Amino acid sequence: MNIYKFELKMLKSSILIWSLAISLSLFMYLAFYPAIAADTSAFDALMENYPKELLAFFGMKPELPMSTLLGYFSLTFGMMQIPIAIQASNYGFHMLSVEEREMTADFLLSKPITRTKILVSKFLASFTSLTIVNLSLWIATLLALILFKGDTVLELRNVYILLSSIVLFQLFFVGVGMLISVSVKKIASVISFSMTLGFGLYIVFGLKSTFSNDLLAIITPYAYFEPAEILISGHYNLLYTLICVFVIVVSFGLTYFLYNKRNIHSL
Amino acid sequence: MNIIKRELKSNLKSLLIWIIALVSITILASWEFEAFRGNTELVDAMESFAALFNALGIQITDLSLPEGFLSLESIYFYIPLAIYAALLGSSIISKEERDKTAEYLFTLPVTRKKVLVSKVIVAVLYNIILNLCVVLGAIVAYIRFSPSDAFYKFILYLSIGLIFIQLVFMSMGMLLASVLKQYKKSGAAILAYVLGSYLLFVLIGFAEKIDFLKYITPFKYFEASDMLKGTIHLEYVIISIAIIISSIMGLFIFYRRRDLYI
Amino acid sequence: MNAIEINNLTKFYGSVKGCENINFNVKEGEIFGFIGPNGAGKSTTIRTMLSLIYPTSGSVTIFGKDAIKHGNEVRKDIGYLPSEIFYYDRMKVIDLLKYSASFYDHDCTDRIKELSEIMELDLNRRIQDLSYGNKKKVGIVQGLLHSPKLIILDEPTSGLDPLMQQKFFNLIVEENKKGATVLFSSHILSEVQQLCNRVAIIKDGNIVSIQDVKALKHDNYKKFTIRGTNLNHGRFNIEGVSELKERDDKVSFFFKGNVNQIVKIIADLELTDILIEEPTLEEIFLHYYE
Repeated sequence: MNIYKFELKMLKSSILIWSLAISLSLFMYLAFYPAIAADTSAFDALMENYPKELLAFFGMKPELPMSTLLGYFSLTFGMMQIPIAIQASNYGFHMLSVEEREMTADFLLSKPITRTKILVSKFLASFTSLTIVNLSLWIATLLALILFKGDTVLELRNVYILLSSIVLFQLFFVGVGMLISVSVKKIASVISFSMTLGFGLYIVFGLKSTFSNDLLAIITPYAYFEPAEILISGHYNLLYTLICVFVIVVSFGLTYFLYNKRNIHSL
Repeated sequence: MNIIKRELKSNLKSLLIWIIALVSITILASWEFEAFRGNTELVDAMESFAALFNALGIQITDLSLPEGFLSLESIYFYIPLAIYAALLGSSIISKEERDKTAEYLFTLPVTRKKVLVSKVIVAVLYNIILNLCVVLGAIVAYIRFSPSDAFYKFILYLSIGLIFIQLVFMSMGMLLASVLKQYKKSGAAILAYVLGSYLLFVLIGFAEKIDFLKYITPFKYFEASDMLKGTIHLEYVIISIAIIISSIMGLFIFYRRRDLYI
Repeated sequence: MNAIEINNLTKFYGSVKGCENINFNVKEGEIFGFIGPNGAGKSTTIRTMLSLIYPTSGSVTIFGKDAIKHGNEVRKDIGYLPSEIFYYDRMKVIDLLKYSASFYDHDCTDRIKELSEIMELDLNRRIQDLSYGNKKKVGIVQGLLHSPKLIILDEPTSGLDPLMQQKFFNLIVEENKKGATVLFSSHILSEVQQLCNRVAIIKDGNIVSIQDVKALKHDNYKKFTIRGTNLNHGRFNIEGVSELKERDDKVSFFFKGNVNQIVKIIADLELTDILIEEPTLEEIFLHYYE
């Protein structure tokens, strides 16, 4: 597919930067675990004295103290979810609006192709990039966990499950980004939108934890795939996962419908 | 001046949205404070967790006090204000090229210098306004707990620290927009720096070994724990002012000589 | 077969009228002109043909297929040259042309070479570094490289120097001779006059008239310009005369009818100069622009 190849080529540097940045950051964070483990061995006992709300604020569960490898990993993975969200949102907001913003719509949309083909090709290119980032995170995580585990006995099963959540997490942001981009007249600055979506939903998650308000959890993927929860329980929350899939399906469906109907105006 | 008026108007909507959002979050978060207030068991438990909280730049001396709790929530000020400042700085400079109005504006009988001065004034002003509104919002949110003077002192210091950080990111964003040939990347670049600075800031908290890196992350200059103690490090003030001044000077130098393409 | 059939095409942008009840056909092999003042609805009509925008009501059929429902098929045979050219950042000309060609079923490399040579287009430069006129050339090559059966031109020559304009017209005429249909939207009436068989005039969103260009000029009107003394006697105000402008020393008008009547009036006058011409399309149509 020519559009797919073209779009993928345009994403080349983005793929490189994001995959390196996120996976190296994760690796770096984990590299400090040995230092932490040494300093904070007293954590464990103290964690028991804590009110759940406070721990929740940091995304920590008493069952998974930060002094353990996985506890620390849950914290750092939680932080990595932010740039993952921002990258996915970026793609979502950018992919369809760019043609109108850069005024190349007259060129591309007057070619003998359907709007659907454009949508699918662009999405696949973005998804390829997101998958490469996803893979690099898998590699960085597993490598780091093995290298820096110290004395811990490594049980990777739950880690695999957590890592598998990345793809749904990304698709949520791509989907919502795309839907918003075809619903508004013009997006002048993609980055403002993607930052707002990616970071805004993180703040909602923070509030939800502070409030122990589960209602807020419904709208934020940071809650659907909370690292500590998954690492402890070893499975996804069924309700949240269904909501996430629902949002993804609905946003993709609506995007398809709205993009096909969209009027592309001239200057 | 007409340019200042125009810039005030065109950036107003965004400012209002940010103010409303941040003040709302502050007020919402303050409700949770109820659970912590006067809870002495908590306080004792907290002290032993000191190391961890240090890592996140928070001195948990006393979560049962408004100022202690607010310092916990302060990360919801630092990051958004940094993002706002970075985006405003880079976009206010690059928008003339992005919206193709450069051909119009810069062929009018006005020097580039004048245009830039107007933009800097508006950007600084709006950052100050956002800062004050957020701080005011915090006061309004916590006033019902009858906080002590320590709270107001913290707010004051926090406001000062935040404005420095804002101006640092803002001026760097402006500089990038004037230097980078692909002006469109300036927003992404400065935000990457904001994000990276934050991640680094957290990491430094965990690992003292890399403490020397604190100079490259503005979040460390005026962190909440210092603000709570009422400590402002002179060296950081000097560094911040140096960054701000040199970035703005750079802005003027580079933008004057910049080739403006259609 | 009609290359283009437009039936009661109406497009409203909210409450603002883009175009209303547009009806016309373009025969296969024609060069059809489309003129009108700014904001008349030319771009609106053209954009619906390409399904960039969708009609509020009415239909557009291209080579027998509905242009909206079967847009992607229909566009295989269309070459579109928009008035403003924008391409992707940092792309080289040759990269854009190759990408463009990849959308069509046949190999266009030879045609790309041919066209770029004629238009003197440097294939290895970045598009964003080109001047406006040179960008236009990229647009021209891009629109023609797949040898389309229908060529839609939207103000194609703005920005081109006169030599290039002529080369461009020759290209279009060549394509037309090979059987391509051309829809040509322009302000420049002299161009339309030079190239088109028929012309539709659009104003305020409605078609005002559809006329045959040749038939118009042929023995229809003659333009008279007479100079002399004491000319202003209202004597030229007879049937068949239009656009009459009278001054004491100069009279000009259009006349359609029996030329002898005019000759008789002139015979009685003391003239210093007389000019009898065929009016330009401009002069005929200018009143449509008002």
